[in-house]
Amino acid sequence: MLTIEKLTSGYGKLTILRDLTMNIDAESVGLFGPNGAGKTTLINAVLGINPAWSGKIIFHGEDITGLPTHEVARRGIALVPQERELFPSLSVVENLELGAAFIPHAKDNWEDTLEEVYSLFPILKERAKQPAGTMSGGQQRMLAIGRALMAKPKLLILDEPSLGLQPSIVNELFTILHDMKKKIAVLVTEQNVRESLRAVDRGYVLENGMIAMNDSSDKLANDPHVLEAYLGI
Amino acid sequence: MKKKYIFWVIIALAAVTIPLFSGPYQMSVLRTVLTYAALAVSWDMLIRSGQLSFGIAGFFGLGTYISAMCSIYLNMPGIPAIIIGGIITCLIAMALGTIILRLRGMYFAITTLALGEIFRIIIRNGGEFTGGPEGLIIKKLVFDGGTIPTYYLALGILLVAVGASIYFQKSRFHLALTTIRNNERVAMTSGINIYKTLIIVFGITAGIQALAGASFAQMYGFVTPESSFSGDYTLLPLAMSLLGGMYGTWGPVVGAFLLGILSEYLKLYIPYGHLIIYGIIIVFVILVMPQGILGLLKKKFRKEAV
Repeated sequence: MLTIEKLTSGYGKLTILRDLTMNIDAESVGLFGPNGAGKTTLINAVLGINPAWSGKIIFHGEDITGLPTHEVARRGIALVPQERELFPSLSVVENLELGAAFIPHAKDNWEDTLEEVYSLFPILKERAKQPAGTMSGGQQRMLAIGRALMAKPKLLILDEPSLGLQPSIVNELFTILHDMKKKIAVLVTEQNVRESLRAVDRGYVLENGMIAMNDSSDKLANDPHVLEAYLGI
Repeated sequence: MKKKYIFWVIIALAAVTIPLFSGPYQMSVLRTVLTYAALAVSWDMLIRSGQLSFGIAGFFGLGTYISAMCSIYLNMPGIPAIIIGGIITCLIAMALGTIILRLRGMYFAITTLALGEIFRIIIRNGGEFTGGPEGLIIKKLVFDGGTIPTYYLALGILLVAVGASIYFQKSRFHLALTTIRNNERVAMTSGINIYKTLIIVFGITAGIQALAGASFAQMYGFVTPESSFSGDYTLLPLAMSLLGGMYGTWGPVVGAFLLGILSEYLKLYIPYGHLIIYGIIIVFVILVMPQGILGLLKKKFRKEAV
């Protein structure tokens, strides 16, 4: 579904990603690595927010390298950003409508998608008319995911979804992500490796802008290097 | 709900029937207030996307000159000349927008301020064609300069601005503009073409500002670089929007009426003193009620409702 071939990217003179190659099919993939490894840079490059210096990004057989971000979004890649980045003054339902409003294949029957999102996150239906800024951190994260799902994406990218959330909510979140991967491909970057390994099929470990490891989540969970570096055992 | 309906009927009736019971002086004050209200609403439409424009006077002035030239060189009657002034300015703004809307924040604001000055200088040095520093005179005023029909003309232009503004609030533009203002990264990843959206809004608001300018020129029958591109046309609508409340249609209108009428009275007692009052109001509003009068009222009612 998404193929990244020999991608090099960075900021100014600073190279962050070096000849990075990875592949995501209809599955759930985790992207792990310490701060500064290049996780967010990789996401930005896929979405066209930050240009790819060289290499290719192919999505559903189409070369999307260098496409403007809104065009990438319209082709079916949705992002749940790291900070919650909702619009506090807009209501919950307006935030959700925004997710679909500018995506050609999602905007016409957005109300059907809305029901699906509500069934996934019932709390959003209860709070539909409330300004998004009045909800708790966990609810706002659910709303951010709901907004991304409204675009009917083929690939959902979540950037550090557990950041700043209490453990019980993190658990709930990954249970939902685990269920979601049946319908759409998921790419999730995480520092909370223990929880996220439960939800993904496969994981890439990113270090210094290169793929250091690529294996199934079971194997990663038992790998001595991962255990030591990310699980603190 | 019913109360709200009655309120709007009264406002509409007042707007339509006011010429029946007021004299020419009041009419001309109202005409000016309506024009400023249109400018304030159009400025607010752009600020909703987060882009601060100081270019109101520039597009206003461009509208006055284009419509004046249409009347003088092409013998065009008043109303078509006003519409052409609006359309051509809208197209010019869109073309310029493709360049300057790559800028953000202070850089965009300063560039729009410079644009107005550039227009003024070009026209001032345009020789006989633009009338140079002396400007141009339109021999035949629109509606022969009659106070009542020109009042309705100004009202009509405000309605165009209000209509466009309400459309921008009710349609998907509202979501797009709010998103662009708050977070461009989310806007892009939600499939919003930021550049295109901003160019459209910039063009439309400049077009409305030019309509206001063009009708002003056709009412008073003359254009000069200094009067058409006066800084008042940039600063007053800004002060009005701030006072009334930004990010909505009615805040700028309320602000325009309050400041417009206040300034008329102040002018009688302390000539030019009204500018000091404007300055004080801007400082006061920013410090004490950043949401403006309407924002303050809304907050109060919401509290009472709870």
